[in-house]
Amino acid sequence: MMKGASVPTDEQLVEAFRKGDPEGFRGLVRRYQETMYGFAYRMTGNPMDADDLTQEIFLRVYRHLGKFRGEASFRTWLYRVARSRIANFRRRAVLDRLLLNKPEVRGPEAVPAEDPLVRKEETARLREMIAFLPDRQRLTLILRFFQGLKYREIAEVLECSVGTAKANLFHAVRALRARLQERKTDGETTALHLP
Amino acid sequence: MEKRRRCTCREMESVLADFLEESLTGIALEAVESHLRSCPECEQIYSLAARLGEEGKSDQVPDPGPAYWNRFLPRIEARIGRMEPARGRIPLWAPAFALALIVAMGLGLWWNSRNDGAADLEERLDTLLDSSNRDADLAVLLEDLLPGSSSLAIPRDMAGEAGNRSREWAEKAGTLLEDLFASDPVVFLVPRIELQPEEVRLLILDLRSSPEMRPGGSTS
Repeated sequence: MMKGASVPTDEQLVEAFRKGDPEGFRGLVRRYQETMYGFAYRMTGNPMDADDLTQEIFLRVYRHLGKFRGEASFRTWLYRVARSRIANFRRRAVLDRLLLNKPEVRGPEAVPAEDPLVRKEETARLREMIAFLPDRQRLTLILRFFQGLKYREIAEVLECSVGTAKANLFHAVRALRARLQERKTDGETTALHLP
Repeated sequence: MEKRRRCTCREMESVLADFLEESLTGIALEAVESHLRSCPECEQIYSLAARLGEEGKSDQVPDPGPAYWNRFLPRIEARIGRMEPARGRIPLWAPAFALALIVAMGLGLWWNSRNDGAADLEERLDTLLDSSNRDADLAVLLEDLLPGSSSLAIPRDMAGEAGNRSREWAEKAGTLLEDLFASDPVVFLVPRIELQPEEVRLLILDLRSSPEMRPGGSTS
């Protein structure tokens, strides 16, 4: 059992896990389960996929936590694990389409129909378009604006410099704006207004 | 100096993030504000970014509910429990079964891809490489694309004979990779390498056209 009344840090929980205390891993899961579920949900837009991915992320953490060397914080390492799992998941979806000739289905990924909080069409359309951004841009945008990571942390997750992470954000927003404009010029009737 | 009181669109790439966080001061802040007043495009990008920031703050993921969260950790621990005995005590028939399964999967993928036609492959690869995942894990990309190479997806420390087979195949692939790109063959087993899309495309096409490179193919 973990000793001490104060809330243990991530590092203490990792250390406990390494020493064979199951409370170490349990503490990390409890601390980050909702964050990871949220991240997976935002990346896939589907609660079932988010559930599967969140489990997979923590299973991978369990398998590899012993090798975690603490060069980055546990939090950014966890995001790296999650990023890898989600990228693999998305790649599989692309390959299914390529190899099995399955039609592309991106709608549910972009706008979860059962999300009670997707209440405004404008917000829903914006989210839909975020789903179409290139991976690194989308990741940067979601990590910064929706998951609240700092640029330094985003840089660690994406394994790039802080400057690149910041530039990614600019390019993501610019690409999003271009898509919004395309929709406008296509004459689509939409409630979405360019700012 | 007066000239520097307005930054360029290019410079906005690196300072927009700081401007959004209100961490710019003095002349840098002035330069960005001045640019935004005179550049409608950057002003729109800034406004959209600011709006996304606001959306993000108020965004809430639908909560699956307390019952879900109460079950979450026990479900993970149950899966770990099933995983661990399997690691420690692999039945004797498991490697043979795994190998048979891999070969069957490989044949299925190979047959599927043959039906699609070789001419179609280039187009498919281009679509994939243009669309996303340019920085994808090369090993996973190849194992997914090459017929029968799914054996690489099995962790080598858990797959027994199948793992040896994967290594053998990977070494051959690595040799070809070395020939093609003068790279260290080890890269094929290391996931983090990044190649240019065209290089990946060439590599895959080349591997696909070499029957001996397939796990089911001749190794002599």
